[in-house]
Amino acid sequence: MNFEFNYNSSRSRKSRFYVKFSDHIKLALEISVALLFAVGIGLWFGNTLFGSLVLALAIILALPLIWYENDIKKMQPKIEPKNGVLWLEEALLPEVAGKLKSIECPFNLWLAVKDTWQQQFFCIRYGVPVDLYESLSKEATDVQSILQHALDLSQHHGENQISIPSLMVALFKTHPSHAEVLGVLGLDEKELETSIDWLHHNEEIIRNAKNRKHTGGLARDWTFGYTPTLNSMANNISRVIERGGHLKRDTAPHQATVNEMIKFMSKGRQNVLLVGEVGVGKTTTVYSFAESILNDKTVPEIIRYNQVFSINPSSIIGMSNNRNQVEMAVYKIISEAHKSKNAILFFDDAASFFQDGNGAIDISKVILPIINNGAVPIIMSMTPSEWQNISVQNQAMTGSVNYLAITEPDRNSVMRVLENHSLKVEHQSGVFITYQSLVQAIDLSDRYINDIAYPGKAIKLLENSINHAEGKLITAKSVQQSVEVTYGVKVQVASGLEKQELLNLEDQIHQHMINQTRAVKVVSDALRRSRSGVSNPDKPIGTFLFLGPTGVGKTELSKAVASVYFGDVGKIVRVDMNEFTQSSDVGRLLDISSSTSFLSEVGRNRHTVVLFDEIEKAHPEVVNVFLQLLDEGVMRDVNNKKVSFKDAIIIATSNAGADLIRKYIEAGQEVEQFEQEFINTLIDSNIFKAEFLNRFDESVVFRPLKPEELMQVVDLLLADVNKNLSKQKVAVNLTQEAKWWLVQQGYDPRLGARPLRRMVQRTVENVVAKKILQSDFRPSSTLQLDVADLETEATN
Amino acid sequence: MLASDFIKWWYSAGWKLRLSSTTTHVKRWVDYFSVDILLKTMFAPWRQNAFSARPGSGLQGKVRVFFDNLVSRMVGFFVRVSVLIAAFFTVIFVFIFNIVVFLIWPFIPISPILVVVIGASI
Repeated sequence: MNFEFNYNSSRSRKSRFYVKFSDHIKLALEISVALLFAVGIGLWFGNTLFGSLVLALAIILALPLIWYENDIKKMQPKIEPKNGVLWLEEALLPEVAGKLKSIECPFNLWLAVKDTWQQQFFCIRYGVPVDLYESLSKEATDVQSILQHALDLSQHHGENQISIPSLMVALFKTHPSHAEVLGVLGLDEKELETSIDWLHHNEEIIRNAKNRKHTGGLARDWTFGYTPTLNSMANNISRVIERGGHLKRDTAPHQATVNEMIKFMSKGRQNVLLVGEVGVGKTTTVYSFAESILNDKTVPEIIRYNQVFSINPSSIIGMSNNRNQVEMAVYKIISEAHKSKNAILFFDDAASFFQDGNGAIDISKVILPIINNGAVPIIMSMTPSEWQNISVQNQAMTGSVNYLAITEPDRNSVMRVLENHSLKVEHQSGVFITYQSLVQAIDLSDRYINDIAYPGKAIKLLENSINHAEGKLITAKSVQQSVEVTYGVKVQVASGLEKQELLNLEDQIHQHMINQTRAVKVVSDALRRSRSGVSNPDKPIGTFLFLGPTGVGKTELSKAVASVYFGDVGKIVRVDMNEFTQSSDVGRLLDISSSTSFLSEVGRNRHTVVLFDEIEKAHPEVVNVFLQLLDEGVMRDVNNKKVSFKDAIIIATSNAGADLIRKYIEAGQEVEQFEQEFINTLIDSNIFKAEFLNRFDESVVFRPLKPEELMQVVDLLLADVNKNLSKQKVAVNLTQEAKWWLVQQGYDPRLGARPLRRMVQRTVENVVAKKILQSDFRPSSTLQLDVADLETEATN
Repeated sequence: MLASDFIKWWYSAGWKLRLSSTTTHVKRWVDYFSVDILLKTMFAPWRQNAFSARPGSGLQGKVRVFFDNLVSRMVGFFVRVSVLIAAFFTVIFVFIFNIVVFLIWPFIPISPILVVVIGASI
């Protein structure tokens, strides 16, 4: 296809007239014409000639106005090649064609689209810098390929014009640094092309707002009865729509559901039961249905122009004192709806009327007969689990209602819904929403909001992000910050000081524990991978199996990670697997009803270390439950509800084979030399199954501590004591001999360093306590203890 | 050049548009007055104010209900007929106005000259 542009064609001239004929000029002309007509007519009776001159001037000024309103303003671009040539002034919007000087260089194309609202929409929503376009080539060059690409994009998206976003995308791709800019923006080319559909939809909204809908005229409701009760107790959705309070964006499945609703409501028992998870769009579907029966002339007459009243059962139950009052209120509503002949009742969250419970009263005896005889058209909505319970209790109901399942839309549809909803959010909050923030809202809501379905959860997250807008812009970062604040997790890639801390993570962890350098390294590596966005986000941050004897630092490392990475040593959920030694314990493990169950704790605090202590003690069926957790980062409770572990570090510890480790060490082997052989032994002896061990990121063998390392452990324990004493401005110190004495007394080859803590408690802490009580310890002084002091205390 | 574009439009597409917009304007007013709905529901009770005789009520009760409903239907009939008459005159006016505009359309661009000539000659 050849692209040509004729600056002197009639269409080009009219387009330039369109651009110049701004709203201000138009208004000035309209006022002038009106005034001149009035003055001219007035003068006519005094001075006919002068009056006629003024009137003539008024007519002359009115002519361009008539032309503009009836022709210029209505010019539509179209793609109609003539003899293989597509004339650009025909294919472009008049506001673009009117500013086009020539098609000699890409920069000229940019000047034509510059400052249109579509260009601003594109640059703001996608974050594309205007400077990039300003630096487009001004050299005379071939723009045919750019225009061809823009045409292809437009046609691919169903446009009968070369649209502005298509031109913006095509121009963008010609810039030498476009790939780099895309990388910075976190977009790919396909995502940039979504602007074409998004803008097209917004243009449709503007067009629809300007064009009055066919709503039946002034006598529409004269054949229908009055509805004073409904007006006071229900929300008239149809009125809301007539006032323009509903922005519809139909996706194919959504439209199919609305069509089904129209069929069900037009014949037989006029009822529909919408069943879908919270947030899936049941109420929005009803709004779309209400809009269709108001505006769509093809809808059957029986429901055409009917008013849809939304009734909230909770508010009716809340306003009433007992079951009788609720029944009376509902009966009154139904009677009025029946009498009016044009009311469709929509019981949102209808389950509250079909079962007794907290905030619910079973009045099915009132509603079911109405549903059965079809006296009043009724729409109900509830969740699948609610419907499951109600249908078991009320089996007659299953045969009476027209069931329509509303399923979660796919990702593309969710994006379309969000694009649509963003207009509402922007209107209400005065912010602009970027495309990247919508993508983040979809991704992060999927990960962190489990109690609401799409698109509701993405909308919820987007709305929560308003408080984190950067200036007047909701960006991807705004959404990430909202998630971090709300759910206490880290989703942004590390920056600034945190980067340095992550790079020196090993040093920080070693401030809390001695040696076990390999274990510290693998954990640190996992945390760095997570915070740099390298690791798989659909798995836990890290999964580790720590193997080794008691008292070598397995639990200490878990605590150190909680302290260093999560900022609080209390960010640890410890599960003692000694309590899950029977197969029947699986149910208890997956029980989420108790607030102290580990699933509840993780549900509340996702960003945590989960420590499965002594995993080898757990029953094999209990261990099998962990396979999904290690694989997918989720566990399901007894009700199949997901609990995410994707922001947790999973650590399982085991003492299994401790004696064997000691034998290896006593034989003079290093951990690296026997680690794999040792793990194979655990598998061969059926202590762990291979499929379980293989699911951990790393299995790490902890070796028993050497005496010199135990001296360092004493230093750490002493530091803990001094930390407690610091409030009283005193400190305690031990001689090297005293420390060695503690190591000798406190070390047990089978219990590792664990008895050391007790020994420090029994000797050092006791001596210090007595000195403080005897007032022998002055503020700002340091108590020096020797072996004799400790021996004396130990023998007392 | 722009003037020639204007003249060309005025005496071709613009003039045709006048004719087609006559239909559009008439349809819009017919829709505004809900003419089709009024005709279909000409004898329907006004705002569903219809009554039915209670079971066991005698002939007198049934006759009273019949007359009550008749009154409701008559109210509806008179309101609807009144609106239909208003709609009829409005549509006729709109139609004639549009036809007149269509007929004088070719003379509008030269009307400033005509107005001045008439003004000078009086």
